[in-house]
Amino acid sequence: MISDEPGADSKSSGGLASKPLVTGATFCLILLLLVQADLLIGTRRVGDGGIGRALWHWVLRRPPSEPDVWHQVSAPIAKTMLATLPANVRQRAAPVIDWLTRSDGIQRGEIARILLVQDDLTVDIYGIDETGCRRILAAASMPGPPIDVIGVSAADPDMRPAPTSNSDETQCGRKTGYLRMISRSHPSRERQ
Amino acid sequence: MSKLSNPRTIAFLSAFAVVALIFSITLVWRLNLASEITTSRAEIVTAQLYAWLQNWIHEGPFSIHFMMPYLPLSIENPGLQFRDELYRSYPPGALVPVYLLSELHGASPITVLTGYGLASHAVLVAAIFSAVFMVTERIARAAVPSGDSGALWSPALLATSAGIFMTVASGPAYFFARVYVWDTAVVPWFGLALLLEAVHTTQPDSPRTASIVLGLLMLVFTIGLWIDWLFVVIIFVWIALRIAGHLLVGRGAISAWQAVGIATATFVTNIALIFAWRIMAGLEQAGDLTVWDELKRTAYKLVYRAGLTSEDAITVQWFFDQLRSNLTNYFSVGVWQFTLLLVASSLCIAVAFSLTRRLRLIGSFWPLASLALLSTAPPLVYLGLLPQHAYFHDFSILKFAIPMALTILTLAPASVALLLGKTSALHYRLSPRAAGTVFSTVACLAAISGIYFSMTRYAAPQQHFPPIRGGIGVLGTIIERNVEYADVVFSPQFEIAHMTAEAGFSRKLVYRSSDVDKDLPAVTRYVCTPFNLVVVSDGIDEPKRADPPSEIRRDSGLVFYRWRNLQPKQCAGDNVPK
Repeated sequence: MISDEPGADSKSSGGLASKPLVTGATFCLILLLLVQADLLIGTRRVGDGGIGRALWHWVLRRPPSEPDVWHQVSAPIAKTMLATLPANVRQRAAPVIDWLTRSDGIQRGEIARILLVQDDLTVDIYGIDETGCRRILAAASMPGPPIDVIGVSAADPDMRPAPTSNSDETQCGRKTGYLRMISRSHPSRERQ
Repeated sequence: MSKLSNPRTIAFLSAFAVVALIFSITLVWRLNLASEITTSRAEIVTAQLYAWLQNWIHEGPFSIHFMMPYLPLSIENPGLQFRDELYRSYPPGALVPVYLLSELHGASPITVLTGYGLASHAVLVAAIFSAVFMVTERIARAAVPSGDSGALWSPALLATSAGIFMTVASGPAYFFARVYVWDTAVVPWFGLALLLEAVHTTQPDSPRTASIVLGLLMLVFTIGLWIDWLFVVIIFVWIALRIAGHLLVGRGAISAWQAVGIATATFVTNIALIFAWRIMAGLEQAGDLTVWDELKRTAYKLVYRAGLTSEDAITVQWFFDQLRSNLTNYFSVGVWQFTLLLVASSLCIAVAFSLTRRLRLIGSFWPLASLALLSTAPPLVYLGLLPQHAYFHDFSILKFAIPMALTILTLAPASVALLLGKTSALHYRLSPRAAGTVFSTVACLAAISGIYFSMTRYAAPQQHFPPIRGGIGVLGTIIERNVEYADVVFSPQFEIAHMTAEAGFSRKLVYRSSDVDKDLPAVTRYVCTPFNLVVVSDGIDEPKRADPPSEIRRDSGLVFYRWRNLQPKQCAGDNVPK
């Protein structure tokens, strides 16, 4: 086995090894500085970056930003599962889930997710088929739906104001298996 | 001096305690991540593995020959040959530990999954930490005079950097909390293989250690091969490393050719057994599958996953878009940033490697070089060979955590530090102590930078994976407790198709139909004994049948209408579906 005892190198290598060694070491140092700079610059781009802040959060034992909690229920029995939700979410979501159940559309989805942020309610349905999607869009085209916007993806261009038009049902042909509905907080709804 | 009180052990344990402390602190906010398995992203695949586990739990893995049928056992799917295509793309190794734990604790596999995921993550962190400590300590011993504290600070800090990254990066934190699939199952074994490689290369002269390590490595290779094809690449890289090590470093306690022979035998034996299992799966189902058919099928699967067929074809742009999205979501780095980091770090190691050969330091540097190659080449080769698989499965990016923690954050800085220390001694005539200080300073500063980088990754899981209350399985569990083997279940509203989120819980398919009498014959075409018809609805739609149901049962807002002892109209049970 080749010996590589510490200190054995300098004498044996001598001046011949010195030049490529310096060149190589300089090259590597530049690369390392580049990597380190990139790591640190990249770090600054992350929203909650900063070691002091990170440590402070860890000391306080709480996540960096209080995340909003989604509540997930099985879509076919969403109305029954409302009872498992916190009171404020249940109260706000009940009219929307009741309306979705009457449309006979939510039953054709797999999972419904509900998010309540400052009284704005978002309901996402995952795994919904085209028939279910069309039934909900048809219900949304009737006057006075309990939602403000609806779309077959979460992207803004896909969101349609409610009541929707009949042509909006064609969106369901994209078969995204997904529907998002948002019910915004406004005074008339708060009075209900 | 006892082993426990020597400075090396103290440095290792102190650094390990820091990583363990951070790991346990992160558990607090990981509770949000580990909420429950949902239907989003890669988590749906966890539900599919859960459905297979349920089959094993309820039928026994031996009785179905460790197969993974898509359909649950039910009167309308009475045997393996009736249960749709059996899943054969990967061997069933990922299911075994969870199944065994589930049997051992008498708990549901879904309960075991979260704990097993956490334990897998802990094993991975500990393995990577230890591997980095071992190889960088070897480098430090070559660079710093004995007795200098820098010889222990640098490996301790570099190992801490790797350990923290593996703990808090959003990829590992998220996947090990919510996703159990082949990739999450195989990565801890990959980590253990790297640790054993580090032991193998840092203690090459002890025959006893070398024999034990080689035996353990073969065990890890065997387990890894039965979990995921990644280990095929790992074994080939490992064999290449043994040959290269023989040519560059010389003979160790076990000859390279002996190690290569043992690894080849392990590989060939396991691959033969895996093929035998796959052929048996085909025979169980189709009855006339030949070895040639299976080879053709395997070749097609590889070509398909390589994205070379028209089936689910992806474009180069889609692939890179997905890669960018995965790197951002799971590691908070951009695709170009990652490429730059990896290329620059690999270049550092390659240049240092070629120069340390001139310095006759190859023996000290070889463990680092082999660890860098074994940790980085397999994930890259795997991604390059199977881009279609990587596109459709987010979780394949998890493998990249290892080259990030090793090559980028720790091994490249250690290489450069060694090179700078030796250059200082040789070219600038610094004393060995001063040259050692150069090494320690560079290595420690890079390690601190790595720790800073890693600790600031922790915000990402919260941003990308918001906590979700309420998991999957509620509907499936209600169905499961209200039906029996002889029931054929319909619903006018919903369906539970095979391999969906609820199927593992319901252990029964629910067919959606607005006209049960019309659809019943197709569903029961292989039923040859009296069966029950169950229609489940939310109570809005009552089933429209001429006969009144034998019984009506209500549970959690669902109504179960059951007609008992219906006679099969036609029995095609002898005609096994091909």
